[in-house]
Amino acid sequence: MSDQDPILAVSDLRKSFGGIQAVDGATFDVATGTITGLIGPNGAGKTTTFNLVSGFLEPDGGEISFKGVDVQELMRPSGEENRIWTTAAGVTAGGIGVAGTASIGAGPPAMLAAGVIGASVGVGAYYGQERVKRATSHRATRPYQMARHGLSRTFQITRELQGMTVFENLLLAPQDQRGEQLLNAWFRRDTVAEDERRVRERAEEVLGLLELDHLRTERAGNLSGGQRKLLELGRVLMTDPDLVLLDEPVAGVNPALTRNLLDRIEQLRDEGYTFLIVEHDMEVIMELSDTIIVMDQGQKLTDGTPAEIQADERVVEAYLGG
Amino acid sequence: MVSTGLENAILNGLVTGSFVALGAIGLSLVYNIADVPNFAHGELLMIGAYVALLVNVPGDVPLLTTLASNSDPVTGGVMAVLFVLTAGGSLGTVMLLDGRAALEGGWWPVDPPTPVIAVAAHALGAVVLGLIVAVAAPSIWAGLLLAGVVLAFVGPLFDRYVFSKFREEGAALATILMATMGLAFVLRFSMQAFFSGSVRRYDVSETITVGGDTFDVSRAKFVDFYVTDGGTVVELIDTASSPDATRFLAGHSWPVLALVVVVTLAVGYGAYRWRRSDIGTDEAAQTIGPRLVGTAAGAVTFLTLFALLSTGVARPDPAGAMYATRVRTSVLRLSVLVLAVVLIFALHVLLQETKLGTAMRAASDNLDLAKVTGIDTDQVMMTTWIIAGGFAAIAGVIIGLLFHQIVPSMGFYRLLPIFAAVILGGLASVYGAIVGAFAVGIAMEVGFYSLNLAWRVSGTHRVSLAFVLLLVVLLVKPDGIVGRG
Amino acid sequence: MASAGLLVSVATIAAIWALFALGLNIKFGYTGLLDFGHVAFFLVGAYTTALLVAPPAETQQFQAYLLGLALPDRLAALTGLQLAGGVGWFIALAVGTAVAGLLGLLVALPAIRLREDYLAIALLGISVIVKRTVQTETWLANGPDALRGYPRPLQGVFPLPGYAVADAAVFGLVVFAFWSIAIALLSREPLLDDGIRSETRWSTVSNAVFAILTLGFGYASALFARRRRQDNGGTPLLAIVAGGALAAALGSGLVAFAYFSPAVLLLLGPLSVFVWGYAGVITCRHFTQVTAREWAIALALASGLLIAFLPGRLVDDGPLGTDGLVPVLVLLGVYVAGSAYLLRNWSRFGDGTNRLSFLGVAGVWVFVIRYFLLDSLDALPDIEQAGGALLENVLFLVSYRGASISDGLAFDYSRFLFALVLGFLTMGYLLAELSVTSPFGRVLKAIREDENVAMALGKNPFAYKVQSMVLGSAIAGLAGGLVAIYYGTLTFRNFDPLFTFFMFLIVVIGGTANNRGVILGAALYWGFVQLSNDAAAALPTGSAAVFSVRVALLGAVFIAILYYRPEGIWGERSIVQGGTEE
Repeated sequence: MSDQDPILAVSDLRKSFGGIQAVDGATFDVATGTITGLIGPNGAGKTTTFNLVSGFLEPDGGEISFKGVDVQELMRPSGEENRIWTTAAGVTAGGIGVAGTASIGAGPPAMLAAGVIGASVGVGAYYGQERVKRATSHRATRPYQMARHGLSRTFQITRELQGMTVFENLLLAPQDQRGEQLLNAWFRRDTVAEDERRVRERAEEVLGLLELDHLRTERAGNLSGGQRKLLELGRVLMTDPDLVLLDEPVAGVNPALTRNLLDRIEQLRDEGYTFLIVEHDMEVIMELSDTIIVMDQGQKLTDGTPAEIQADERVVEAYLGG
Repeated sequence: MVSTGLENAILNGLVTGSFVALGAIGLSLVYNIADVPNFAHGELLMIGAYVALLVNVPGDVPLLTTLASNSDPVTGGVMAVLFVLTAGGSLGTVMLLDGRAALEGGWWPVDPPTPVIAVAAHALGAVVLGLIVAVAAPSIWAGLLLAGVVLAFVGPLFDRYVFSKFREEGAALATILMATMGLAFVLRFSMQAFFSGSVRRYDVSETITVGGDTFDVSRAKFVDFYVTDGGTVVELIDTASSPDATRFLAGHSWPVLALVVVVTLAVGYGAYRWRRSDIGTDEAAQTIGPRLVGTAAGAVTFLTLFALLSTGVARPDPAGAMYATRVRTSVLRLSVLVLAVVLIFALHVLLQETKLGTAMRAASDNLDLAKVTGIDTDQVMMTTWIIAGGFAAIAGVIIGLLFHQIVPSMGFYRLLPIFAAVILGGLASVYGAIVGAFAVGIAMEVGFYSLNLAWRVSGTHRVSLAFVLLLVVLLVKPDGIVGRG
Repeated sequence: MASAGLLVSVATIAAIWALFALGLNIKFGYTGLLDFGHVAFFLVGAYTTALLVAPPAETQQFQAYLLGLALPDRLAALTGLQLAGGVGWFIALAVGTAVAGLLGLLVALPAIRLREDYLAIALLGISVIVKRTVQTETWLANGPDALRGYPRPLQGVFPLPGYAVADAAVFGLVVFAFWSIAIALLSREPLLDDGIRSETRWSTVSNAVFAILTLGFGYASALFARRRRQDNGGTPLLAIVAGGALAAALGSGLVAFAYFSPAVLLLLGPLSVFVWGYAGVITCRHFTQVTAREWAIALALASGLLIAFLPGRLVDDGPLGTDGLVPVLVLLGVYVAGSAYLLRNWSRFGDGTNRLSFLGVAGVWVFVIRYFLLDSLDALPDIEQAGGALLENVLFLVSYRGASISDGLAFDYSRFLFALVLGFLTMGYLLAELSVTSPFGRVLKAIREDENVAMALGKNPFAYKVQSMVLGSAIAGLAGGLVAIYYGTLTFRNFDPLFTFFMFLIVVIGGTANNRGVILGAALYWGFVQLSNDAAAALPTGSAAVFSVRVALLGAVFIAILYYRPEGIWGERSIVQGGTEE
């Protein structure tokens, strides 16, 4: 994949809620290494699009491809999920085998054999149904898989983990921490400690970058609205993403902090991050974005550079009409 | 000797569904409007069952024993206590709605000419209720009335003194859940401390007289049904007398039956068309829709014609009949079903036809929105709990009657099927809960019947069956049958 | 009569319940799963363990059950060693734990995606189904009657002294458990930093006393462990284990040379005193802000409770036994009213500490009076007996071969069980702490706070919730296995859904998502149970309704805590720096 390829390509995306067509055939690309703004009047389907792209909602139709791969492909069950289901299927089927042979009065060797056969059948059945799901292009939503593959998002209404400290909020974010697996946490404490040191260093950096140092041990629930936005951005950065979806990143943030935040985003863009941003503050979005996509009534109205968008009469009409 | 079969299990299921429905109605209303998943709801049933004991067997109630005598359980002292409880409970219930203003007629759909008239009317009503209970004691029906009145007063108190406090604090659902669990144990074990854990029973040995025949209310009646070459035969056997006496024996030839079926179908379809032509969009219309109306009309027609067109025959030999089955029931069990249907209908009228009902439905959809649009949400909340308490009490008395035992843990174990009914109904409306309740009832009895055919299993597994049904449904649809989506 | 045996017995069941509640804390406290069916896993653990160790059902009268593998007996017969029976028990406990965890997995798979209220009712339903199955199915575990006749681990060895080799080994194990825990606790003590040659006299004395009570080497290993922990996070485990092992070797060596009484006296006597001393030190430190005057008021409050029950003891019971009831009830009424007045106007009476600390101090006084004084007071005209009772209560880890210490010392089965259960509780606690302070625990808390955020950060809530259910259920299963040992018989009544409620009470009282709080909660619960039993016994009529009244009261207390102090007594322990040290 070259830098010219779009990191995110959405085509003919559809989603309806109880008869209301929230997203109705939206098609757009987000180029790698850019800041792309997503604007549109209220109810244009921006947040729904976000939720579809990040895997929080199941699309009714259409394709989303992230880094050149269909997201349905990315959202396959994870290793741990597979392990859980295979364990359960194996244990249940094996148990039935053992109990069945025991009830007809067979000896231990037969019980053992039946158990092993049952367990293999159970495990096989699980993988078989995964095959079937794949073959029938079964749609599933596993947003956590999107995050693992490098797509990170914030929420329109900030969702900080209120009972946890600012620092803990950040520590949570990095992917593939070995200590997140229970057995590692128990038996490989040195490895976990090593990971933890690295994560902490990174969290310190991010705290410094966002100037949240002094709030390190504060519970996230006690932060102001602007600080929460920063914390969410910080969490996103900690995941080390390829594409960042920001839902109204500067709403409720004071002007000085906004300036700071925008500088950070641009700086990060220059470092190679890609951003897709929904924002209602026109001044901010026009200044920040390289490209702007305008949505209206669930479809893409137009796209172009900020200057082109500002000159487009259809956009003004959509806003006035909406 | 004819053995019981699936038909018997279904009838049992309907009876079970009746008390589950009465419990589920209250639970679902409270769940929806007050946002309280009330784990203490079963205890309301239990307390109701014990309150009816005050009327029915006052000699078995601690403290009240001193007033009762051996020869006549209902002495003047007991009657006075019952009168005070009933009258006080009913006035208290009215007061809960809006304090003094309610007593002065504030909750009436029409404004009373002067507050005095309203107060007088309330007082009169209370006195009449009190007299009815006091005079009718120890009849279980008076017990039913007292239990309903007392619990209608007590139920709302829990909301006022416990749950509303948590709501004001903005407590999480989990906290409220745990609080209801705590309350459940407070109620259950207070009752156990007061009454002790020993099993108590109602004393129902009542008979009714119909057309010169006396019927024992609680003893079993058998309805045997035969299909023979010539037609069908129905026999009603009363086990109260010894030996068992045939009360009714009648047959229908095949042509007559065919006629009955044709007319039934015609009437049913006619009713269906009539209902479909003027159906509304409210939620009652979704449930009591054309199909239900058609079925009900058909059923009434069928039963009427069936009774009118019967002819006397001799009892056929079960072995020679093509099919024979027995339904075992009693007047009491059938009246439970009738009582439940009447109460459900009354609730339906309240919800659909009154201003209060409209307010309740609005509050059920969105309490905050209802408050903004000027609905007196406090009154709605209290009404909800009054209904929940009253219905739960009646369900409790019914359970005490049907199972011949009243113990402090009876409520907790009925809670599971009741919750199952509410969740099956999808929480969205009280109608869903009613449908869910009968589904749960039938699942319990029919499931138990079929399991018992295959293996001999214990009757204690009935509740498990209701639960297995719930789990299976939740597996397929995590939001219930009529889920909000 | 001394209360030491009672203390050991209550402490044992409290420790089992603490373990049981630790399982719920992982599910509910950390992950936010409302498991209203927690007792089902306790039941499964208990019955699985019991059925594995029970002899075949055919050999028992009036009993019918599955399995009956008689693991301990077979292992003992196979190896010819009595001690191998203990290994059989360990295997049974491990299997019981695993089966409970497995049930947790199978239950979690379908149920875990339900919304929280549905999850609660579904799990409650499952616990009722499991209980009813055990209750009605006779072939499974002796139906509605009790399952009995299974051996308890190593019971044949007791009372010590008896069979020499096994005695030495078992005694060594017990000493190891008690000593390791004591050393571990001591190594957390900041007083150690001052050392024996400290400038303040207080720490010099206390350190010297600790050193003497732990025979020098216990103190040394605690000191060493503390240093290890402070230097760049080295592991203190080795020093603790070494200290414990040394004590065990000493103890079993002495027993092997038939010096049984001296061994018990040397290794468990001072340790008993150490426990009280250590408890005193941490209690005083915990309540440093409580002034002497407030301590005195608390003492008055605590003794008031005792005085209120005095008429019940003094008045000679008539045939109805109600002569003392009226004065007791009157006094109790006055007492309750007085305490309520005191607490309501606490700002006027106290010196500024909060009410909770004051109540804590009063609770400490109640314990001290009940445990150390009451027995001696009862015996009072007889000074010798009073002193003997006090001595027996102080040396609670030691039991007598006869009526008094002069008959020689023994070591009874209940104290062995206490050591066993305490060892398992320590393991369970360490395991739980290790899990929740790790990045794994961080994810659990994130899921509790907001599942969507966890997903947006690439965590799979399903997998973590299932793991949390399995872990919590397995711990409950282990507690179940221990309770099977503790009771010696099992009936379905021991596994009522009511017990899940007690678990929630314990978790919430101590502090949700605080493993230490859970242990405090279990101790408080059983303290309350014992107190209410005492109160009922002190009432002239006795009371059959004590259980009902207690549960009703606890329900009310639960609601009050949820409303006034939802974070519990100690609140959630924040793991800000993520390490094991705060």
